[in-house]
Amino acid sequence: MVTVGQNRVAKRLDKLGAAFCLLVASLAMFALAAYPMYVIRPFREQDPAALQRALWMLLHDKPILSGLFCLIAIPAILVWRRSGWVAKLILTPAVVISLLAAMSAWINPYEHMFHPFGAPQYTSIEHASLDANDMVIAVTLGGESRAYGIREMGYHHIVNDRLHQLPIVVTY
Amino acid sequence: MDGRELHFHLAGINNQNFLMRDEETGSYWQQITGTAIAGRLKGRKLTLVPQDELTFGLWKKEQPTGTVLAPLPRYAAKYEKATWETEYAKLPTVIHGPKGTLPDRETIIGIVNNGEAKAYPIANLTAQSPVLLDVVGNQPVMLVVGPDGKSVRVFSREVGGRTLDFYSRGNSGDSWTLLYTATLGEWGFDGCALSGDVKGQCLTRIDALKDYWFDWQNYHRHTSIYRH
Repeated sequence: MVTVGQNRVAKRLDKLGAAFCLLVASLAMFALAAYPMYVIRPFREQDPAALQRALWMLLHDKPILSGLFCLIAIPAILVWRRSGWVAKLILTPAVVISLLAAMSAWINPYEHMFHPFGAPQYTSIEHASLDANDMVIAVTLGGESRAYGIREMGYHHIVNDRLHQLPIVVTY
Repeated sequence: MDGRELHFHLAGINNQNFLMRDEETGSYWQQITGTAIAGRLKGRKLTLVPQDELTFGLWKKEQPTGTVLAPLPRYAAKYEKATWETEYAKLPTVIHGPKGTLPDRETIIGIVNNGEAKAYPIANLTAQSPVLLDVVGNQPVMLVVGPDGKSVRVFSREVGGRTLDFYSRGNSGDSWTLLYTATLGEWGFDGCALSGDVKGQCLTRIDALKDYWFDWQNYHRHTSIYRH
């Protein structure tokens, strides 16, 4: 009886070590994926070296995080059948966490915070809803002039436009 | 850039100055400098086009045929209120200028000329020196507060090898003019002579940036401050 009980416990704990390692790896991967978002979050000082690391990560995150996901998911599948239920309980979040981290490479929340302006439309001075005292950014090229209201620019921040045939980006 | 049109969108923040990203190469650009700081175009710089920050009233007087960006009605609720300037002035900053310089949120006009950077607090210009003559990077310059009392322009005072001195006649609505000290000729806020034998001649504009002090000093470490 004692032997059977011990066997049952042993079976339950099969591959526990491997599962635990994969969980730790998935958490490390999650931290790596979150690092750029952590560095460039607003209302915090950005250190130049950390910013460079964060931007490097953002530029290379798709292959890196996809590769890491494979390195976690494939062993997880391989050990799954031989795992006890405790190990399976640990393997499941390991795969889910690494999948979420890999998917985050396709999403930068800061790129969706302010709605981009899209193709700009214009009005004439008579129809503009600006007060004489409102500040504008004015761009004048080859005799053509266009005014961009600061209050709108303060929200959209960026307008891609063309003036006098020249592609320009107006920023505030 | 290199014959290719780039399209930018907002992509992050760096010490309260935003980062943008171009859709064509995915490079990251710093807004204030127009320079790519990461990605394939790292180190490249966008060309600054002639631009101005002034009141709508003054602009439409100067450019009666100009066009105005139409706001998107969907986002009307998110646009800044008329009082946004005073609201923003209260916000904290994450980086700070050296002690004993200026308050972090002081708005300044920043000029870089021949390697010399200088910051002029706007409040002092509007209150004390609507026409300020100075020398930056060995070039005689003039900062002028416009007839609206809010817009600031910077000009070189050199015309044909001569350095000109100006003063303000004072602000009384439409009759706002600059006076050239030597001949008392009248000049407008666009930097062009309105009368005399130089009528139609214009001063060269100098690029100037309206910015918060904390941001300006972060990108111009050796900047000096004009003391009135």
